Amino acid sequence: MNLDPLLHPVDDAVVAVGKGVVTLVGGRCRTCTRVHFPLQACCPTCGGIAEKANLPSAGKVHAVTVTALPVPGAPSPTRIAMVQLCADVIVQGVLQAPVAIDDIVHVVGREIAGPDGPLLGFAFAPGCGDA
Amino acid sequence: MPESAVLGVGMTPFVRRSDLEAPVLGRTALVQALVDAAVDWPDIELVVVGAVGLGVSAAGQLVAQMQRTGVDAVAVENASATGSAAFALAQDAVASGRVGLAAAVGIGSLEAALTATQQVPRLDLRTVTGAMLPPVLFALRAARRFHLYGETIEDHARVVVKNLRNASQNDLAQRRTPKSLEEVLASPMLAEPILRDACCPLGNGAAAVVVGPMGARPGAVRVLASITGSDHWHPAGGSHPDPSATARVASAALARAGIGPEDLDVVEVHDAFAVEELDYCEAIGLCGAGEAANALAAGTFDVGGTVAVSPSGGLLARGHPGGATGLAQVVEVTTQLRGRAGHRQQPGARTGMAHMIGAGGICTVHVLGGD
Repeated sequence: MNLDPLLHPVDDAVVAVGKGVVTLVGGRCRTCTRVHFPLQACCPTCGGIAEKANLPSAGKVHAVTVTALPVPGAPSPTRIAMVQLCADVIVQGVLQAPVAIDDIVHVVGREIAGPDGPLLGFAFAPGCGDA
Repeated sequence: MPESAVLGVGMTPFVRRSDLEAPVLGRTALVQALVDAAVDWPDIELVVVGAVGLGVSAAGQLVAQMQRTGVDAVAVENASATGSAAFALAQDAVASGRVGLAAAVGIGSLEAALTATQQVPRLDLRTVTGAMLPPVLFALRAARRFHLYGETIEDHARVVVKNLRNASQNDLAQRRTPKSLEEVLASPMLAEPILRDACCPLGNGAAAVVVGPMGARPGAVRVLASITGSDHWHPAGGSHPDPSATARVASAALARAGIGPEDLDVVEVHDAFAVEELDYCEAIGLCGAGEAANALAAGTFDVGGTVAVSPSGGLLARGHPGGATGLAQVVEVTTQLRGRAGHRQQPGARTGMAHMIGAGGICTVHVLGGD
């Protein structure tokens, strides 16, 4: 995808790591080592100190839907999935193509039209990408 | 320490739009509850107002509709579980002995609250992933159930058919026209597999309850348990409510009441979406995991079945006007336990539960028992 690598992210959880390539950033607890997403002020499980942790770039589809309800920056109808990126984290995001539960998908960047210009978001695409 | 009991209930019709302001609706329900309880307003020592979308001073707005008695008044807000929170605080004040008589009033529409939160469009992690769209969240939950249990869209539509049938016997319900399975399946798709008919309507209305010590009053219904809990973190905690909250809170409430799920005759659940009713029936323990759709199809959750689930029509059909909903559940359970529910009466109902989820991670369960 031809994304501008200098786009401002829609959220600090989305970080550009290359042209059109993004990674999702969550938190890992220094005490219990559990990972969470998005990054919280402290570990939401044990209250320990949380530090930034990159999430895996691919995972397995947990559930999927398609809706005509408006999702900013996404084509209509919009396909949306919950994706298990690691044992501790399931992330919801827009899909770029049809998939089924238990399929493997990977994180890609997507441009989202904002009021002051385009923003960098993320989506899921079929396959494991470069992971 | 005194036991608390529901002494009187009141409720306005739930409607799509009302010409009456929310505090006026609240007054109407409160006066009904006072009359039902044979209690005079000046005898109420505490009024807890559950208000959604009314802005500041909701308790003052309600009290201003009544005779000025200087009553202790407080407002609470817990999203969809707002009315439940009002009831919890009112009954706790009585059960603790702090006051002799309390009232809980639920007012304010979900639509007003949604409008208030959506006035400033924003782009953030939740909006751009569809996580701010409740039909999407519950479509994903339904899709997961399809995958795990082999359920179908027909299984979920049967929840709607049952609850519309129940609501057709409830003069105060918002959706009172029964539909066949085929008619429900023909309703527009909002997010696969969630049909529009499988979502609760937005509406307006009010409900109220008078709470006092359990005594020899005719029609009093004992509060056996009132438990509220909030979510634990879980893998999808960034966008979805905790799926284990209902099991934890309902289990604690049943333990407090000294009964098991098999003892429940009537249950009002937070069925804002049809899939939720199936989830919560299992979480409460009315059946095993993955068994709710078959149990429903077999009539287990019908009025006249093993346990009547959402006999009022539930959020899906009685309606879900924000602040009033949790109290409307208490009104229904009380009416059932008094044996006054007419054509939707669960025969021999002695014990009932009211269960609500508040967006943001709150679950409240009340267990009531008749004599």
